[in-house]
Amino acid sequence: MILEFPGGARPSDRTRLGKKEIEYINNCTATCIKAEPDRELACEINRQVKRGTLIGRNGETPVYSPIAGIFRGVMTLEGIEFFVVTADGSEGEEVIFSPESRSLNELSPEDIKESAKKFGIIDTRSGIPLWKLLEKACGSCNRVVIDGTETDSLSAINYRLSIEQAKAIVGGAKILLKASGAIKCVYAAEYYRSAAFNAIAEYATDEKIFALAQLDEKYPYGDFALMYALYVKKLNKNQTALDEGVLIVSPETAIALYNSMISGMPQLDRYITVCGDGIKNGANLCVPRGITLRDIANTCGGLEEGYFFAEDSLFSGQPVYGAVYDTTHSLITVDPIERIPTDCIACGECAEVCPVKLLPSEVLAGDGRRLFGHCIGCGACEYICPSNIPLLKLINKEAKK
Amino acid sequence: MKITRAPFVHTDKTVFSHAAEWLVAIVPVIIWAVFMFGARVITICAVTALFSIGFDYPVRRFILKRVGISRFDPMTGIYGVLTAFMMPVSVPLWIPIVGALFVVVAKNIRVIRAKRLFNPFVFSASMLHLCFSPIMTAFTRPFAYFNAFSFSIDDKLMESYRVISPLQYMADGSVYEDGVFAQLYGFASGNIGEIAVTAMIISVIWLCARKQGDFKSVVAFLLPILLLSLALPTDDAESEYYAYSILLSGGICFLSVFAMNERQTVPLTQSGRIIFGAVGGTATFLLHRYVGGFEWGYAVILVLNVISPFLEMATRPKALSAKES
Repeated sequence: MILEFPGGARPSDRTRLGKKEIEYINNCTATCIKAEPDRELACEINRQVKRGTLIGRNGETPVYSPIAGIFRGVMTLEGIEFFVVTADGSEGEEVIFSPESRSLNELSPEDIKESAKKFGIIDTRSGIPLWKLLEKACGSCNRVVIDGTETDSLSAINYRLSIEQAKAIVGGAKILLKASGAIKCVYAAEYYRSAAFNAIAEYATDEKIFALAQLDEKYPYGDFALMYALYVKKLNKNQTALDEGVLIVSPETAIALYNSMISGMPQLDRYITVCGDGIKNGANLCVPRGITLRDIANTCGGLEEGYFFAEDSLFSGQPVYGAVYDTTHSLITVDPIERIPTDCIACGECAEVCPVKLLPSEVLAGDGRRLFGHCIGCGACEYICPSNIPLLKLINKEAKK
Repeated sequence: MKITRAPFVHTDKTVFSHAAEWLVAIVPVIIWAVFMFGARVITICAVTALFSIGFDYPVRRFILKRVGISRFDPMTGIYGVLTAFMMPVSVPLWIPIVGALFVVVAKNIRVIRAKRLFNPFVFSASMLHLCFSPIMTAFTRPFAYFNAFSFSIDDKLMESYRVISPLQYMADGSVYEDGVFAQLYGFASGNIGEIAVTAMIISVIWLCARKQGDFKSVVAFLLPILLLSLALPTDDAESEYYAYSILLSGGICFLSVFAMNERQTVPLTQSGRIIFGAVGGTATFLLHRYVGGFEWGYAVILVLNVISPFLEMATRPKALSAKES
């Protein structure tokens, strides 16, 4: 059975990178990892660091250098602060970590949470450190969902990870089940990703704890849409799935947890799709965490003039500045499109694609503030509007009045 | 580097593609009308459409301050043609020009909740009926082809072809006697776009298939008319015959196909549209049946247009995400 949520839109451009295997990229000139307001340095500035050297902390979450090079401290790029490490050619040098020696049965949920914290694992779906999610999930969570859906129809990284690293995903899911106290894990992806389902099914053999969920091919898949599609649960605007006892993580997070427990290495790499018309060679890549966009562009054959990078979604993604963020799953090259809005023709398309069943065009009647109270900001209405009305922008603007 | 905000992709659909769907929908009606009434149909449609666009452009440019391509609203031309459909073929050519003026007035009046107050082509036809009733009710028999380019029809020629339309029969409480099949195929006198019932059925199928129309709201309008005409027949006809002849009268079909699917003047919600249609159909029949006069359908639609924004609010679906505290 194909599960679905109300509304949503299907961009015509189904992924073109699903058949491209993940390439592993080590050579980069610098890495920039986002520094939170409560960040602190754990390493002297301009000191030589190895791959895996502790360079700072975002709150209690350690930040490790993803490459060998010189730690440059915290720098500001386009108004955002980053821990910056520049490469110095000493490729391959890395800190030796000791793997977890105990078996999963011997580990308590607290042990796993501490390990997730020690390894600096970030849930790449939400951008929240995994240990924080596990802390909240422990005792109140009854389901773990591995969200194998893509952030956009152009992206294919979750699909490739599900095929190439199915064992690590299932292993990570088992650890998450233990850590959260949940009783069942669901792997969810778009229904046509049969190769991914087959790969996961090969390792997720215990039907009592694992289930596969085939979802309709439409976007965007956030907490709201997933919870509705899987459990027919309606989330409030600012509510997360975890508030309803469901821990949703990306396949990459499960992989990072599994690999860290096995090898002892912290999360130093990120998996992303680079796609769009502005790049010569679209690819699925494994790159050092915080790799710069310039390095990405060079790796993929150069960024065409006039194009820029946006992350994750063509509907609601944000332009990316400087480097790959912890929540970036796909870097989409887009060109700035100037759209001239015209009068609403009341076609009703915006209402049809709205996942929360709003009438977005009511913003034109001055209902922006009411709409803002419900709107999840997915951008599907703006995508579909034939009159080019910036509905989402108007809703946000009305709410601020 | 120039950076814009999301969405970074846009559907292929535009206001022009929407208008193109409507253009395709009205083509069968035009073809049938030309077959029945001659090339003058094209002249009337073209004059109304071109003048509608011509009047609308300065309004959009100088009053509404639209920029670039948005100065041109392709639906204006469609509204113009639909207005022409509600005229007899015998109208002098200044009538389409006045009709175009009314179209532009109606399409740009947005009073309640930024929605259009009146359906432009129904408003235009209503105003023409109010102001120029004798001209707007001068129907001629089918296949009476007039000169396509003559500014007005000679009175003597006009009188020799003049007949009463099915709706005029029914407005007097009589039953149209040429048979329902003549009505279905469109071998009847009447307004140029209202006689072609079969062509309009093709139009509505197209509109619904292309998601420009809503089949349920069409049925919601027609069903009460069918049921009420079966329940309340006139004394001089079998109830089924009366019901079918009412249902197949071009004006009723025209309103159900085109006015019910003019999205800017009907509720956006489906339940709202069904209520709109059901109330519209019921009121239209009862007024036809007990008050007389065949323009009541227009008046009913216009009144419902005014309350449509409120109907939309009342039938707004409950948002799935609870309100933010």
